[in-house]
Amino acid sequence: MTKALFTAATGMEAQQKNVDNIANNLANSSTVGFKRTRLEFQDLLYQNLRTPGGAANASTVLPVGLQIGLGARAISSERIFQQGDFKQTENPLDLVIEGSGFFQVRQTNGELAYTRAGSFHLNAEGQIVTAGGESLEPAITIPTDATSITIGTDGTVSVTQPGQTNAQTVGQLQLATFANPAGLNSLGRNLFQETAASGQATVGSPDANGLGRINQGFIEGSNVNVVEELVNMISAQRAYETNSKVITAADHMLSTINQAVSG
Amino acid sequence: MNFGLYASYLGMRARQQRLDMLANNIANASTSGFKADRLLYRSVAASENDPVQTQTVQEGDAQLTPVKRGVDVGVVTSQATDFSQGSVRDTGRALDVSLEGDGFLCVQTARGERYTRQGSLTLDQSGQLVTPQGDLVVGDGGPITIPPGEVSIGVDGTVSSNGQIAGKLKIVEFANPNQALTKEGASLFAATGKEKAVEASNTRVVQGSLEMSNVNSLVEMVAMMQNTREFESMQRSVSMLMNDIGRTISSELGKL
Repeated sequence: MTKALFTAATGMEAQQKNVDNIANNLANSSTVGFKRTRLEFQDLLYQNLRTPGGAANASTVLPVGLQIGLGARAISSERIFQQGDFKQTENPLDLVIEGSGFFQVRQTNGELAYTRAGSFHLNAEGQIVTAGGESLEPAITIPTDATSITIGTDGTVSVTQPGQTNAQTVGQLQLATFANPAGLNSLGRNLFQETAASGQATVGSPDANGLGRINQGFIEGSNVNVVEELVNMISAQRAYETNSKVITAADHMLSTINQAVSG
Repeated sequence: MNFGLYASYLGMRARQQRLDMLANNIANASTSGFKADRLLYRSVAASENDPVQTQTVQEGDAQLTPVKRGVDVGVVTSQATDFSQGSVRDTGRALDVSLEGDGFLCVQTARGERYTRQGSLTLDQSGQLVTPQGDLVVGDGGPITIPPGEVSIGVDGTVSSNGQIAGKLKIVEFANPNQALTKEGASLFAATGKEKAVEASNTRVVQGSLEMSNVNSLVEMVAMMQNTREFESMQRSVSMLMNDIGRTISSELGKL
């Protein structure tokens, strides 16, 4: 019966992680480019108390055995790369990727990172950078006297300058895809990092080879569905409660034994 | 009197095992593809498990058997898994599949082929379809490699990416899964070898949804309350047998 106590504890721990995860999703329900995560659970080991097929007596075998499981655990937090809602902003440096792919940015420590959060800004040198200051890779510099910036669906960045009638191309955006985007490591700050599980980044121009199209003047909202998260939270809370009831029941049975012994 | 005590002990032990099992069901109320376990009680005849009790005692000409054959003195337990369909939840994720019907997905592990109903599949670094544990999902022609792009999975398990067929999920079923499968943990079932897996005939694959655990918390809670009360009654009978009857006999015998 002490088994039941520990089994219930694993269930409570799993549900606690579940609530932690829901809390993070809800906290990021307004984060641009945020992708929600979902916890996946699995059952733990089973204890074989009676093996099916064992001999019940000389002539019959047990048709079914007795296996008692030892609880549950959270096995993975699966990031769901479903497209978030697009919001129109009219800001020329707000970009969304319609389809698969990530913007490739260079962090201040020199390492590459990937993001879906396409609200870019210009830094003091005129480079296109994220809100966190990470520059696009390859870097694109906008001339200081540019009067307008146009980014095409294929990622071509062009500007118009005073005294010129034709737009001038100043760079080309590149997008990256992965064999397994769910295997990317989340760095926080809307950034993801390549891992052995995600596979190597395949870099290419937008709107080709299965990569998404760029839309200028939009941002991709978080893909967290608040109602769904709240429903998940209620069910996690109930499951947590039920697990705690198991502990109460086990405790009650143990005290019953104590009464039998003392009585 | 001894048999009564022993029967109560067996009953209490069975209730303990039941609580352990209920605890595991409840702990897995959020495990997708989990199948609840049920404890089965079976009465034991005194003679069945204890050869000592079948010995007869010679007393004069009469042969006395301490306990008549066929008298039940307690319970032993075994377990059966409830393979009924869990509720299906819409997730919208392309690599989530739920199975409508009695089929199982086949998974290649280091220990051999295993079966699962947990359909939250993912890809590995080379684009092969795997479980969250990293075990390869078996297709009709080996592992399924999915090139980047929009993945669609048909009702028959055909996996395609950007219109190109990448493979077909191998889905098998068993006539009597309770005999054919044992639980291995990590949402996997292992074959006992009693029955050969056959290709599933009536199972539909539904993309973008997950089969939840088939544990019904309400049912488990009620079972748990009933279980606790039964345990208490058995404890009552133990203390009755130990104190009341025992004391009565010794006091009555003392008068003789």
